[in-house]
Amino acid sequence: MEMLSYFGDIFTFQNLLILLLGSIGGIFFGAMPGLSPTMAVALLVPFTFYMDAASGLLLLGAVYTSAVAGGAITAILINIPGAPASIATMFDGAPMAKQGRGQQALYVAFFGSLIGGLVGVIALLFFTPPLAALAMEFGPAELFWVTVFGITVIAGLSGGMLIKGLFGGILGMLISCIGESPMLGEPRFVVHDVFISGIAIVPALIGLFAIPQILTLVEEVNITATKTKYSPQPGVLGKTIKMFLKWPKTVALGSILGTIIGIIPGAGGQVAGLISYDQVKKTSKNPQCFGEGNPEGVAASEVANSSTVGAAMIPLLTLGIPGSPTAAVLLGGLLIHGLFPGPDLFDPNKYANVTYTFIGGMFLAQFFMCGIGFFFSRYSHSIMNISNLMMAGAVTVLAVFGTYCVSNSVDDVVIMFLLGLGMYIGSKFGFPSAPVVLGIILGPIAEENFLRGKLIAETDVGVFNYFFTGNMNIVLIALCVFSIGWGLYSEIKAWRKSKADCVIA
Amino acid sequence: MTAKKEWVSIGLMVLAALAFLFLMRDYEGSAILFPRMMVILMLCLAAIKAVAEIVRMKKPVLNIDDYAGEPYPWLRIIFVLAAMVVYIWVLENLGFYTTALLFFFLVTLAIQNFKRTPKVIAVRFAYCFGFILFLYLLFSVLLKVQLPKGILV
Repeated sequence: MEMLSYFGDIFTFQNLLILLLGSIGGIFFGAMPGLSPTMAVALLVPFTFYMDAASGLLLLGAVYTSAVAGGAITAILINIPGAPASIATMFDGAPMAKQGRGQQALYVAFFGSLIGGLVGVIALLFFTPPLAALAMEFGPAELFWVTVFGITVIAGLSGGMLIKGLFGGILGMLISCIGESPMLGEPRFVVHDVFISGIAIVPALIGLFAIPQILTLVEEVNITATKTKYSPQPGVLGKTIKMFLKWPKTVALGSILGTIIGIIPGAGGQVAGLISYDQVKKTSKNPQCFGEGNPEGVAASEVANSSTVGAAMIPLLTLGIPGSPTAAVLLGGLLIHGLFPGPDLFDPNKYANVTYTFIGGMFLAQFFMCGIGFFFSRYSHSIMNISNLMMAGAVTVLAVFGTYCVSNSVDDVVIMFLLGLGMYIGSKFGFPSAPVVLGIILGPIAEENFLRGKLIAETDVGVFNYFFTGNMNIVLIALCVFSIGWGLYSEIKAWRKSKADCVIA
Repeated sequence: MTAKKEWVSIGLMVLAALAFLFLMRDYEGSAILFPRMMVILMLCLAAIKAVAEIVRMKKPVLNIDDYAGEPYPWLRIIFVLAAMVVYIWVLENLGFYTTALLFFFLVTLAIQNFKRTPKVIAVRFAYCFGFILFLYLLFSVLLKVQLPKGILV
């Protein structure tokens, strides 16, 4: 219960203001179909540089929470998920909006997100300390395998692009080698003065996520979404709460599934939302009502996808393995404040105050998200009127601004632009950006632990024995193999299905 | 993704690995050990991808990508990329807020697909100016963030 003593730090004027602004910004980003929660967090990482670690992380946590929930707005009102996590929300949310029940659908989405988010944060609060204690037993070999595992899970869930995902992760690790060697100080791959200090996390994050997105928005400037008419009605909140009281099974199923899926690195909110929706539909007495505008379907999806937010932080804070691409970006936020995932984050003599203020802030952020979500429900249609054209311009300015102000260097802006351009070209050939980003973040950790482990091994049991024997090493290697194997299995299954569909056609 | 695109992506994979291999030709010792391992893994993955593609070619699957959609807006993308380069180039000379305003206003005006009437231009400028003013008040006035001032602001 010592952890609760840190929660008082959240209730400062500054932190409450950060939570409020973060929640507004998150909903704004989430409601725009072109901007994902990952990009929202990536764009904000540099601004946390001017804050203390706890406040900076609170801002990122609040934006992450609200952006995932905010994705429901467009999913419901214009049948386009604002965030991938809201795909299942569309199934019933959009028909509800067409039937003139858009406000009710939005209230169900935000209330469901509140419940799911709270469950996820409670899991985060209680599961992280024991896992962090386990991480304390890790030596260089285990830490090396943990980084490899992180890459394999993100690559394995790159939507049928396993090999390209793995390639992206390794390329990211190689990009992180640009500049001086962390152990020996020798410069590597410095083809121009711009690269002397290596590739910093922030320019990489912004470049890899924002530039391809900006150029995609430019490609689609002519596309305009069909907007649904929306008129606020009184008494909807009361009805929503009554509905949730009738759905204990949906809430329990959604939050448990969301929490478990959130803990599994790489799975993410979209998987949780879809599985929860599917399970709630299958166990319902009236499955035929789903897809026709059933608010229970909206609740099933939103409870589950919001549960993943807190749960995704569990492997992140304890082992440095992000539970989602957004958590991977948050890892960058932790590292730029000098916080390394693991037991130190929970040590009262080190960073426990920052960590528990952050977790407590995440708890409070759920209420901010819900309140602001209800409020914005009335005006959300106007957010969606912002054109791709204006969004592309504004995001470019923010990307340049965010990159420059980290170290007041145009070199960083150039690196951001070059990486972004490369990623845009890569994305046209099916290379996902999340593994590259994670590779850049985890690369130095992997290299340092590999070289350190090699040095220890050469004076001890030998390199092979050091890295490939020992219970924890074997477990981690097995997890890497399983992660790749599962990705491969899913890819082959999808290919066979498309082949069968082709034959039928 | 079409088979042609997949082969181009394999080519890109090999090219990226070879580029790093070329850059590490003068290095020796532990500093290059980890990058060398990564390059070998990249080449292995490119080889696996090539084998998978050969297998896939024997049993082709109809792809949505095989159908021609809207033509790719080359001109628009090249224009925006060129504008970004100019934006970054003059950032420190002209000042952050001036270049940001010019980029935002001119680029969005240039790539829009509807008529540029004086009213549209005035409204667009007001939007862009409002956005930049918001950034200025938040970051320069409130948070005192250091930004390039250049000859203007």
